[in-house]
Amino acid sequence: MAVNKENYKKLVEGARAEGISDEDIRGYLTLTKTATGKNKEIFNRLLQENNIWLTDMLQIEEKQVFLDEIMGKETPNQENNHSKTLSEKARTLMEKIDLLSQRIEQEKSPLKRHILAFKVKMLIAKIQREIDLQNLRASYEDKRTALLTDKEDRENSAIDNIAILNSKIKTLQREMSGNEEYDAESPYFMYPKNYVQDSGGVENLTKKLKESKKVESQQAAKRIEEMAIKRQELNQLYEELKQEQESLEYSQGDYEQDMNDLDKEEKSLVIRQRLNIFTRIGDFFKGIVQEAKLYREEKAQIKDLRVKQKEDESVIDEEFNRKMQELREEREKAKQQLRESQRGERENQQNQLGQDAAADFRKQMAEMGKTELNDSITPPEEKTVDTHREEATPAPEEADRNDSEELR
Amino acid sequence: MEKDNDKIVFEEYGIEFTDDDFKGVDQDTLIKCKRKLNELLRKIENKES
Repeated sequence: MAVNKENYKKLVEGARAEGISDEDIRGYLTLTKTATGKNKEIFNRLLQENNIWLTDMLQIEEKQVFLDEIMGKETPNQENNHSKTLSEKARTLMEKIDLLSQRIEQEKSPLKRHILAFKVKMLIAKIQREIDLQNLRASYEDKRTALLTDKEDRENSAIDNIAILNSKIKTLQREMSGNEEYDAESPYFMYPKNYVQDSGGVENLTKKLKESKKVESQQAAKRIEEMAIKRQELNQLYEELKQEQESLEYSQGDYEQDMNDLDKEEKSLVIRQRLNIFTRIGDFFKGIVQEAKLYREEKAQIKDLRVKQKEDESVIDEEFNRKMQELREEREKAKQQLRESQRGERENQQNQLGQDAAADFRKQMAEMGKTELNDSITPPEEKTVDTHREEATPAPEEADRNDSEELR
Repeated sequence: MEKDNDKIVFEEYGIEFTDDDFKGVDQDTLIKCKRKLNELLRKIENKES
């Protein structure tokens, strides 16, 4: 379809009336911007109403010149603003990321850093998506350009071929003219058509003519055969010409169909990319939830372990105290036994001393000649100590001190 | 974390990113940004471990 300036003018006027800026209109028409939302609806409607295909613009080499004609020249400011906007955007993005990096690097809380890491991963995924989309669009632009180039090549080839074929046809027709009576397909063929058909066709006729002894018949046969060959060539050329003409006729339609298919393919890939990122975002969310869940579970396990540890510690403490008590009791017992055994020894010693003293006294009395000693006169130190007595010894504190020294 | 109409919000720093921030930005810039963020991520993950 040829580019129709009037239709474009109407489209531009319609878009302006709907409040779409000139910058956007240029962007949409040159395929450097994609209309979204309300603008998309308006623009698509205007395209349909004015019978315009966006891909028509690809046929135009000097797009800006064409648009200047239709829309009026873009002011230098507008041009500058457009390119300024893009580079400003780039600068703003870099500044934001630098600022974010500085802030995040100062973050100390491990849990916050964990969450921030996930957000940063999402940001990286978004940037990657934009890179992928740009690459995708670029590859499809290349495909569109290739389609257009193919179309133009095909058309140019068809145009040349038609000229060549026509020339050949003309030549052949000239050669064949003046010999129509030898052309079996010509209405001027010298033999009746019915006869030729009934007698088995031109080959049979030619055979008969060759078998004839007449020179004219043999010459006729030769000419009929020559004409048959030319006729075949001519028919072939007609066929080829028809094909080339059809190819030219449907070229634009086929091209538009291919472009539509390409657009659909691109759109579905872009949608898949977007869904992919949402799947990835979904996976990130799942990851966060999973991490948080694991974190909580770990925390709960640590809490349980601590409780168990405290319980174990108290059991250990109890056991320890019990054992210590037992040891103390055993020690006391041992001390008691030692005291008693020492007391026993002392009493035995005292008893022994008393007995020795009594023996000495008797001896002395005996020597003094007083042999008749009254049994009632008891020597002063013969008192026996009762070893089974349970009362405390005369100097218990001293005995205990001695005991404790021995125990040590 | 806020996720509202494709926004990524770092509310504590008052910084947010929308799809519009990336659209139309040249590839060189996008690649540089990605590199910076990967470096940041490495720092965060190294400090965590």
